[in-house]
Order: sequence, then C-alpha cells, then structure tokens
Amino acid sequence: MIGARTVLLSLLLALSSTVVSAQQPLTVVAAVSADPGHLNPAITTGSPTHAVADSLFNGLLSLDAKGEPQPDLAVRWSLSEDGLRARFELAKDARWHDGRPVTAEDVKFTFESVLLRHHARTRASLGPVLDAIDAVDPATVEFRFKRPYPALLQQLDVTEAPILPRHVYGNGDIEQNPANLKPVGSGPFRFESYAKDDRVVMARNPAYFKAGLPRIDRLVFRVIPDGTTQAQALAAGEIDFVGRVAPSEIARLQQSGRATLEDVTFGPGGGNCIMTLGFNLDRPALQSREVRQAFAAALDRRQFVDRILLGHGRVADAPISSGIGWAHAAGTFPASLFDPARARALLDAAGLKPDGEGVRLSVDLVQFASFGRYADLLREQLGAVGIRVRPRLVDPAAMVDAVFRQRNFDLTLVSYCNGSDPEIGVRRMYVSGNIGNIPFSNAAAYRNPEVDALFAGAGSTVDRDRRAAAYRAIQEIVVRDLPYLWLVETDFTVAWRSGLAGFAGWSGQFAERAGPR
Amino acid sequence: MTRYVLRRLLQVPIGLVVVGSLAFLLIHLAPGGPVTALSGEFATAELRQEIEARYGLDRPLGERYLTWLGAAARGDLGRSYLYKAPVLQVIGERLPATLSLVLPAAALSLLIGSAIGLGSTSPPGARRRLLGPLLALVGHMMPTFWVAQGLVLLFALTLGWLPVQGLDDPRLATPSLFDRVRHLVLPVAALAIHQLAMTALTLRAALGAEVGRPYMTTARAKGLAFPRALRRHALANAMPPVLAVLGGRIGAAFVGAIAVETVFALPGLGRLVVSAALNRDHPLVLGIALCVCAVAMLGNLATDLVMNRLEPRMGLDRDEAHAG
Repeated sequence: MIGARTVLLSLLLALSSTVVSAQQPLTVVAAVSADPGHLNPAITTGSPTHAVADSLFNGLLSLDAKGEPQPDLAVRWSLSEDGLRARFELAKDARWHDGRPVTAEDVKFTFESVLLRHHARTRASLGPVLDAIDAVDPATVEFRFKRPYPALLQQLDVTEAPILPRHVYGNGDIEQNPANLKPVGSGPFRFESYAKDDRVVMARNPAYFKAGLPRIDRLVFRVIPDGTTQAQALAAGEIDFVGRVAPSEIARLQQSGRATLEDVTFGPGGGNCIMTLGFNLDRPALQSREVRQAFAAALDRRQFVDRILLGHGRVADAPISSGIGWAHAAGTFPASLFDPARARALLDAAGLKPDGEGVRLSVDLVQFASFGRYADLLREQLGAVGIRVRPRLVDPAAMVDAVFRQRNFDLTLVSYCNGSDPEIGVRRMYVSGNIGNIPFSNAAAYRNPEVDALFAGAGSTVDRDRRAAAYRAIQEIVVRDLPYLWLVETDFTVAWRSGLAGFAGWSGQFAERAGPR
Repeated sequence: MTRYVLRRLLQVPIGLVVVGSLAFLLIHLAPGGPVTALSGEFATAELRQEIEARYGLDRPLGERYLTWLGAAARGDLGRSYLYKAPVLQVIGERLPATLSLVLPAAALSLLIGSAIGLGSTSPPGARRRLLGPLLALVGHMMPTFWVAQGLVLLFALTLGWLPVQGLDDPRLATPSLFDRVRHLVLPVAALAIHQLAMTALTLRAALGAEVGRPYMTTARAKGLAFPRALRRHALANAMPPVLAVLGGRIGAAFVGAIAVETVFALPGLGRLVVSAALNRDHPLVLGIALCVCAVAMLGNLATDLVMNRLEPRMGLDRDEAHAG
C-alpha cells in the first residue's frame, strides 16, 4: 500500500517537474567579436577574454552606469580618513561554483599572486601604491597603502580585479592552470563548455549569492567576427545581444524593429574613450607648437561625429572625457577652434609654404586598419590646408611595434579610454615616466615636469576638490602644448532583442540582471 | 610504381622543411610580437619582458629557429600562445568545420561545373554557347565575402528561409542533422560559386579539344546524339586536366574558406589562420602552414595517381619516366 502511494507521489512529482521544465528555459545568445582564447580574466586585460569570462566571476565591487561603486562580493566597505586603509566585508553566502565559501584569503591570494603580477592594468595602477593586503577574518579583507590612492574603488570591479578561488588557481604556474579553460568562479553563471572560435556555454548558477539572480537559464557566447553578420543575426532573431554595434549597422537594426538599442560610454575593459591624434614630438617638423596648432585649426571635428560616429558620440571639448564629470574641464578645447584660414596662417608663420603642388608638410599616420575611416577624413581635412597625410594602416601588433617600440611615425591615432578616473586612463598619456615600450601609453613622448608634478599630486590625495583643481590645471597646460589632438568622445552602442531587458552594457557582467522584460 | 610513390612521399618532408623555414622567416619579419595580444593593453615594460622570457621570445632568432625545427622534426609543433593548448589539437578542433564546408563545396562545384562544361560544349561548326561559362566566370570574379553577403541578404534576411550564420542553433539542446545542413547551405553555396568556374572552363576547353577527334565523328555516325556522345566518350578523356586543376587547388580552397568562415562565423581553419597571424601566434601559424602544405602535397600525389589510372599514357608505372 505504502509502495503504491510512493509510486503515485513520485509520479505526480515527476509530472509536476515536467510541467516546470516545459516552461521553456530562457537561453540568451550573446555575440562576441573574437575568441577568448582562455577564460581566466585575472591574467590578461584582453577584451576577448573579459567579454566572456567576466560573467563567471565577481569583483569586490561593481560599477553602475555612471562608474560609481556598488556592492558585489563586498557588501560593505570603508576608507580610513588618511586614505591609507580600505576595509571590505564579504557577502556571507558567496560560494564558489564548487560549493566552497568565498573568503578573505581568496581575495588576498588573487591580488598578491595573480592580479599584481599578470593583470597589466591592475599591476600598473595598484602595484606601486599597495603596501599589503590582510585577511582580517574569513569575511573581512583590508588593503594598506603606501600613500593615499584615490582611484581604488573604481578599480575593483570584475574587469579590473576578478576574484579567483585559491584552492583552484593556487597551485603551480597560473598561465598553465587547466582551470583557465575550465574556470571555477563565483559569478551568476557557471561554466559548461567551450568550443574554440565557436561558442562558450554557461548555465545559471542556482546558488548565486544575490537573491533572485540571474534570471537567464543558459548564457551562450557565439564568436561572430564580422560586425555586419552580428547585426544581421540579431535582426534575424538568431542571437539576443550585441555588445558593440558598428555605427554603420545601427540604422539597419533600428529599422528591423526587433532590437532595443542603447548608447553607453563604458564597455568591459574600458570606457570614456577619446579618439586621439598623437604627434611624435621626437620629429623636428612637429616640435613647433604653431604647427600643432595649425593641425588643430585644420580639423572640423563635428564632421567626425556626423560622418564616422553617425551621431553616436561628441566632439571632445577637453582632454579629459566628459564622462568623468568632476575632472572634465569643459570648453578648454572647443569645437570652434576649426579655422582653416588660421591654420594656413600658422603654417606660413612657421615657414611651411606650399610647394608647386600646394603641399606644405608631408607626414605619415600610423594606425589600426580598423580606424580607416578616420584616416580618410584626416587626410581630407589636413590636405585642405596643405598638410599631406600618408596613412599606414596596419594590424594592432604592427601598430604597437611602430609607435611604442620603434617610435617610427609622425602621427598616430589611438582610442585612449579614460576609464572612470583620470588616474586610470589619463595619466598614462602624459607623464614622462610612461615614454617607451609600453603600449597605449605616452605615444607623443610628451615631457613636462609641471604636468608630471600635478599628476603625482592628484594621484596621492583622496580630496576630490584638490584633485579636480589639479586636473583642470593639467588640461589647460596640455591644450596649450598640444602633444595630442582630442578628436571625439566615442560611445558604444549596445543592442539586444526586444522582449528582453536588464542588460548592463557598460559592464563585464552584462547579463547578471537580464531577463524577460 | 611503388618506387615512384615512395619517391614522392620522400619529397614531403623536404617540402615541409622548406615551407616551414620560409614561414618561420616571414612571420618573424612581420613587425610586432604576440605580447600585446597575450597581456592585453597597458602592460608595463617589465611585464612585457616577463612574457617574452616565458615564451622564449627573448632568445636569438637563430636559436629559436633551431629549437622549433628540432621539435617539429620530432612531431612536436609546440603550444599555441593564445589558446594555451598543443598546436595540433587546436588545428584538429577546427578541421571538422572547414571540411564540412570545403568538401561539399568541392563536390558541388565539380558537379555543377561539369554540367556547365558539358552543356556549353557545342558540336564543331555550331554556335558557341557562352552563357553558362560567362555566369561561372562572374561568380569567380566577385569577391567571396560579397557573394556570401548577397546570399545572406536574399535567402536569410529577405526570404527568411535559411539562417544568417553559425554551424547550428545554439538554443537547441541537441542540434539535429537537419539543423546543421540548413546552416551549411549558404556557406557551401558561396564557396562553390567561387570555385565552379575552374571546373567549367577547364572541362569546356578539354572537351573542345576532343569534339573534333575521329572517335567523336564515329560515335555520331553510329547515331549517338551529340550530348550523349560527349558524355559517353569525350568526358572520360577530358577529365584528367579537370582533376589536375582541382587537385592543385587544395591550398586555394583554404583561402576561399577564410572569407566564407568569417562572414558565416564558422569555427574553421581559415579564421584560425587569420587570428593566429594577427596575434603573432608563431607556433600556430607555422603549424597551420605545415599542415596545409602536407595536405596539398599528399593531395597532389593522390591526384597524380588517380590521373595515372585514367590516363596510363602518363607513364607513372615506368619509373624512369618522371621526375615528379
């Protein structure tokens, strides 16, 4: 009798469970442009890895759309008055995907043994200022600094500082750790499978420490290298999310009516980006400030917004991005500088008269081939005042080699991402210690002791007013010296299938809160 | 015959050393190295040096060449920098996608190309039929990525019959055979459209040389209709050059696959070689070069053997006749 009852009950249970599973599990397919190669976000800053692997991990903090810190693994945090100590309290029920608890020891291990050695940005930013990390108790970790470090809270998100489990990644050479291809994290999604150049499949983490999240059952990343194919696949309903829509595809997606589009200033691994023309100040022809001012007067930067960004961006009216509002000295580099007559007069004054073909100065421009449209417009506008530009469009490895190692270029075009604090992405462009074989650092080889001193001051106080004053002074000086021309602030356009909502397009962990509308 | 095959097989390792050495030189002549791709941006000079030391990039070029050559001779092609896995494994994982694209496309282009070649061959003295070969040529001259985009616009986006990209639908728990075939139609068609002109034009030319021969006159005098005589008697005689062209284009098939795999986002060898070259993943680039070279050389040998069966006059059985 009992046996029959049990059978009946289990039958009912089985039935009810099929009813539940019949309620279509939600799979979200996201497009990424390049294969991640491996899935350990703590040993690289490469965006192909981060675009995928960040969904498997957490940082101590996350950043909201404005770049302000929010809780992630740390639920509470406090900074000491003198700015020399920062204390973080970890979420009590945070678990690794294998069930073990996330502890302060994991945080200490991740920073000391992994991030400060292998994560290029965190090593460059925190390495010189961090004194020690203490695991006060299993749920509390404290950072001690040699001097106050103002950008700390902006550099603890999953992209800048993903936390790894020590018991998985702690043994042997981390570059060769098998978990790099079979990762164990704490994030909203658990790793399921990785077919190279094809897809990475993740499943909902049912034990995620944030109640009710995530709302997606399966998250699949499809490697789709071509931007047009990504947009077409979204329009056809084959995929659900594109993290960076090419400007030329935006209109097509809007017309399809099947996608929701949103402009964000941040993307995983970088944000508040300014497309910047750099002068090689080692070249005698470019050492005259009047010549560089002539370049500035020759460029109609509104055209870059209209013709290349198709409206998805702004003229950069200061050297620091408007996305870091408190540090942005609006209007120091206004669009109204455009004045071709003045450009010609400046070149005349510098002794650069037109030759028989109307050419006053001939320069090369070394840049990524993918920024080809910028090269076309630069050539057109500079050509109009007698500056002949010869673009050398190369792949990224060759560009880094020519510009930063060999310094064999006149002009270069770099998308400098300022990040959420000038200390992260602005300082590296100007300080003289960053000249040399450091990719995407001081390409101009700009040297100004006054600017060096102002950056040092602004980077070692947590007083935001004092910092803002220093950054304003810096912007006034570099606009006068013009080691660079700040062309346009570029936005990223994120798109997802209409019917879904909650994507955080600015964050590495873009799908944590996503789900049905 | 056996001696001939052995001699040809012995040439394979020599060819591999030559191609491998050239590829080694070329990839190291390209400016820049793999460090930026490995570390990401912002790497300090110190970190870059550490990475270079880890991968032996700080050693002199000659030493690296000898190390690589020695290991390759023992069958060890090293580990991919970027994928952090053995080169042969990385290549092996991409093979199914490329083969499922290249083989059907080759079969299709052989079939349709032969039909065009046969259909466009006219009896001596009759009007020439140029439409088929002309269309095939247009298909050959249009850039493959362009053809691919056109097919997607028409059949995937406008008509909605076929998918835009991928090997299968990732939303399905277990993709069905039907789903996989559906996904392959457009990429295979794009590649076949590019290739069929080779078969069509070679066959047409070869058939043109046959139609005036006495055996064709005899066949037609016996009452065979021209198309039938063409298929039954001339086709076999005209096939060897077609096979020779096809066999010689094994390497080119991979080149065509690059564009198709990119547009349709297929995880194949064509895309792998592009990303390996862009990221300066030296062991991987060299491994692919060696594999493609080996396949091309063995493919040529197989073609020659088949042709020898079809055309004994080639005389591969007489060992002294050919130097290969």
